[in-house]
This record gives sequence, structure tokens and C-alpha cells, in this order.
Amino acid sequence: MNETEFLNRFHQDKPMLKAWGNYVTDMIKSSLEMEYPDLYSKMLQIPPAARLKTDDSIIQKAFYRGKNYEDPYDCITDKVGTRFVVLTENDVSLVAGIVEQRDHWSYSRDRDYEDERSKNPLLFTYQSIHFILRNRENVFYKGITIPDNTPCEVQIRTLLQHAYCELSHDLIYKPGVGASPQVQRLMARSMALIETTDDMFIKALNEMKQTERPLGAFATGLRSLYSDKLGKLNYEYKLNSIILDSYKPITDALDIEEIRNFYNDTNNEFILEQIKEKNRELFFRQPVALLLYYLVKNREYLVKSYWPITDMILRKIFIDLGIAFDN
Amino acid sequence: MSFEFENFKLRRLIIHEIFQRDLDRKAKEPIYGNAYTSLTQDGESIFKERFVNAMGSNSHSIEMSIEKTEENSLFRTICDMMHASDNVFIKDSKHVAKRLVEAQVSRKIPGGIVVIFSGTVGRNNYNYCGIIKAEVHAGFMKVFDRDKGLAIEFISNLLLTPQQKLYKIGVFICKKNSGEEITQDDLLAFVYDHNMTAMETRQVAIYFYETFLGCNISPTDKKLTQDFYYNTKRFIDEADIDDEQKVDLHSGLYSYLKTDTGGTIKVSEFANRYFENEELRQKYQVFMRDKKMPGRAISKDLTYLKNKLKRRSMFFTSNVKISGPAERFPELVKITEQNENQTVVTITGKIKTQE
Repeated sequence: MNETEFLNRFHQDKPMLKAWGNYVTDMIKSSLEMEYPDLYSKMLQIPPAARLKTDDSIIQKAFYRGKNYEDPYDCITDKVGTRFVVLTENDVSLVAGIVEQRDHWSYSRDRDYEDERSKNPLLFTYQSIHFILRNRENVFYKGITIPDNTPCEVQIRTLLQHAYCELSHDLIYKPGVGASPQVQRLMARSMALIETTDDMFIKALNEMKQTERPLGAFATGLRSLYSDKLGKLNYEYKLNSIILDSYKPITDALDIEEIRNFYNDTNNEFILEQIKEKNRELFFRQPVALLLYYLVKNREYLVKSYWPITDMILRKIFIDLGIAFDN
Repeated sequence: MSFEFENFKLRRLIIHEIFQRDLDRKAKEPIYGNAYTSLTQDGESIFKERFVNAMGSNSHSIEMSIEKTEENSLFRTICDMMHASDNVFIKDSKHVAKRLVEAQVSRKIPGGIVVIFSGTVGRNNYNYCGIIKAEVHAGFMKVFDRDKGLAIEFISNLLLTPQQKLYKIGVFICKKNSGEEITQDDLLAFVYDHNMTAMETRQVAIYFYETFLGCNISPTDKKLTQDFYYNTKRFIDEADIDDEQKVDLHSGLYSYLKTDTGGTIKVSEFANRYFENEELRQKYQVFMRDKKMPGRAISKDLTYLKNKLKRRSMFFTSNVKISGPAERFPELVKITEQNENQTVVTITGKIKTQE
């Protein structure tokens, strides 16, 4: 296969490869959102998108890198790829876990920085996880058939690792172009620092989690009531805490069962509808919303006097319940 | 239980403009809107807020009884509108605006915008039909000018701002959801008009609630006023507060009903004015709700309480009783000291007769 034949085939396959890349990207994104609804919104630092290799770079890789591929077209597995850039190494593991769990494809780990670290403990260089995924069966996606065994590369890395890659791409990673020993040394030092920083980030996050008090029985009860009645929630620890802390004098004497009974009453079903209608607003996606409607309905004077944040939200609840707010 | 304005949903809204009568007191033809206005989400939410603040629990709205139900009454038009198609509703709404013009016979009554709207309200999604007469007023709007930066701009036709004095609302709620014929008993009527809240301005309100809407003060308000008195009295007696406070609250109840010039009474108003803290207010509100007292205003009608409010009495644990004319009681009978066994009372006047 010469360069022209190679490029012809690549151009012909491009729409199919792009479709496969999009399919993989969407599938991983939606699985992440489903498995980690609370974390998802903050997980991805750069919107992942399928990208095809450029003509120049694929030709270089096939014919000019001294790789002596037997069948260069099939041996190049990153004709299409997608990249997930996350904040911490914990998140890297979560994304990797998702990739490994899906049945839609078989996978191989092409690069794994954990492995590489244990093999070369003294080396500080490019770190990223690379998977090669291949569909087990033909996939029909958005009007395009993707034949089975089509490869797609998935890269997973932290934001800091990504910064390193972006900078070093032209300096070190591509063999054949020599970087000066000083540059190599500087890059290795920065990677050592990155690895240290990533590690400290995780430690800091864990520390933070420990200072968040475990949810009390009441908060846990509210949370499960919310999932039962309204489904998905994205729990904002701070917002819930501020409000629960303010109403502690009331909730201390309040049994969560009383609130559950209130919402089991068909007369109050409309309240759940009202909450659903407002789910564009963060507050109404929180379990405390259920507490507030209950309190306004039953103890409106106390609710007003203990309310800790701006009136705007409380006003909406009063109005939904047919109670004048400003009188 | 009294009706609650919860779960308010707006479906249709149309406006017409009406005018003050000419010098010769002839009615001027309204300018009619011909299509529904659709509000943005924020606009709708503010409309809902204005409505509930004026009509909902704790508001000054009053439940009325529907009096006029004859062939050409507003009641008949409203019944028609409850289940009307979009076109019929528009036609009927013009008729409603026209009726308001006819009711405004005095030249003193200003023109304004008549907002006619419908939708559903309450946990059972009852249909309603509402009419707002909104007076137009002037104000300013913040604008951003590329050259000058921030500036204000004059607006002469503002309406439905939080300034409640500038609108009156009548709303009819239909308890029957099917399309069957609606009778007087199926409809609830509520009115908000700032002029109804004070005795001396009641007369000014008549054209709207009676002439136009065909409603009147509900006869049950006599009973509700009486219930308000007895329930509040009982709450004060049973409350966990010291006796001095109880004396003050009893005086408060008397003056709220008898000397205050307000035309309406309201649980939340009494609570805010006379109770000292939120805990007590809350307990009072729950107590009154359990006694089926409405959260909104009741037209004050002292017919059943006339004799009761003439004299105030105090009973002591030793079976001694002091009674006196209620309106001057706090001034004539002063308690200066009190403990478990004795009370020091100063009474203005001297002994006239003894039994």
C-alpha cells in the first residue's frame, strides 16, 4: 500500500471513523452521568469530542516513523480518538472504570501510567491512560454503519497531565526530533511536580470530605424521600446544610415520617408537580425543597423568621401554596 | 376548610382599556384587545405573585356571596366563560369590560386596564375566571445608554406593580370540573379591593363588588367575626404566657374589633399586631386554622358581638369580679402589682352602690 492508496482509503473511511468516535464519546459521557450524577457536572474539564488524525500526521506515522508496519492501515489504531480530561486521578479511575465496564466494545490498555511508573520508577515523562476500543459487532449510528473491530483510541488524563502533554508534544514525545538535555530535564522536573501536585489534590479533597459532617438521619431521610418522589437530584452539600442548620430548632422536634406522610397525601401531589416544574433552579433539585414546602404549609411564621438566604426562593414557595408573602 | 389559592396556573389572559366618563357622564367605548397576551416565564411568575399576594391566605381578599344571578347578570357570563372556547372567551371578555364601564357611573372613578384571565387553581385544579381592574400609573425604568452609561427613562403606563392600592380583583372559582350547567352553588367568589379594608371607604368599593360583580358581603361573616372573637379569646386564655400579657391581649382583641376602623379582620393581622414573638404567632395561626378560621380577611360584622363587647370583666381566683365599660376599661382599671395571692388594682372613681 503506497501513500496515495493509504490516503484514499482513509478519506473514504473518515465519516465512518468520525461516527464511531462520536458514538464512543457519547456512550462514555452518558454512562458517567448515569453512574455519577452528583459528580458528573464538575468532572469533565474539557468537553470531549471525537477527533480524526490529520492526513499529515497519519502519513508520517505510517511511512516515516521507522515502524515498518506490515499493514500500516490496520496497525494504526488511533485514526480516530477521543479524550477525557478530568480534575483528579480519582476521576481518571472512574472514567477508566466506565470504559472497562461497557459491553459495547472490547478494549486493550495501550498505555497505563500506573504500569509505567512501576516499570520505570525513576522516569518522569508523559502520563496518560490510552485505551483502544473495538466494537464487538457492527454498530449502526446516526445513519452510518460501523463495521465490527474498528479501533478508537480513548485517552484519559488529569488537567495537569494534559497541560504537560500540550507543551511537550512537539518537544519530547515524538521521537526523531531531539530536544536538548536541558529541555528534557525541565520537562521531567515538571512532570515530577505534576505527579506530586495531583497526589496532593486528592489528599486535600479527602481531607475536605472528612470535615463534611456525615448527614444526619433527618437529612438522609429527606434525601431518600426526594429520590422516591422526584427522582434524580444533584445534591449540593453546602446549600442543604445552610438551610438544615437554620431550621434545626424546628426539625429537631420533627419526625421525617411526618413529612413523608404529608407527601403521600394525594392532596399535596400538586406540590411535587410544582417542584418538578422548577427543576431548572438548583434549590428545587435539593431535598430541602421538600422540607420547605412542608414547613410553609404548616408553620409559615417560623419559616420566615429562620430563613437564611434571599427571599426570592421562599417567596416562590409561598406563592405556590397560595399564601400572600408581602402582607 | 376555606378555599386555598395554591397551585395557581394561568392559561389565558386578555386585556381591554376602559375610560373615565365624559363631562356629560356618558360612557366611553372601551378599546378592546383582540387576542390573548402570552407572558414570558418571568412575567407569568410575577403575575402569579401579584395575584396570590392580593387574594391568597393572609391577604386582604374577602370571600363574597353571589347575589345577582338573573339572565343578564355577570354571573351568567362568567359561567359561560368557565368552559368557553378561545374565541367565545375573547368575545365574553369584551362583554365583561363593557359591564365594568356601565358600573362606573361616577366621574370620580378612573379608567384603566381590565385584565381578564382564566386557568386553574387549587389542589383539585378548579377552573377560575378572574378580572383585574388596574389603574395605570407612572414610573421610571432603568436604561443603559451606550454613550451615557446608566440613565432612567420615564414610563407613563405602568400597571400591576406591587402597589396594591391601584388594582381591584374579582375572581370566580368553579368547583365543578365537568361541562355540566353551573349553578350559583358551584361558584366561589372572592374580591380584593383596597377600599374594602377600611369602613369609611367601603362605599367607594360598592360599584366594583356589587354593581359590577353582582356580589355582596357574605352573611356568614357575622358568624365568622363572632368565631374569631371566641376562638382568639380562648387561645389567649389557654396560652402559656403570664397574666399581665393576657390582660394586654384581651384589651388588644377588644380594640381590634371595636375601636379599630378597619373594615376587615384577619388572623395574621391580629397576630402581627398583638403577639410578641414568632412562636406565639405560629401557635395562634395553627390554633385558628384548626378551628376552621379562614386565613384571608373577613368582613368585620359585629352584629352578634354587640352586647359582648360593651363590657369587659375580670375574674379573680377568690371569686371576685370586676367589670366595666369595655372601651375605657384599660384606662379605668389599672393593675399595678400581681403575685400568687394578691393583685393590686387601681380603679378610677369611687363606690356608687353596693349589693
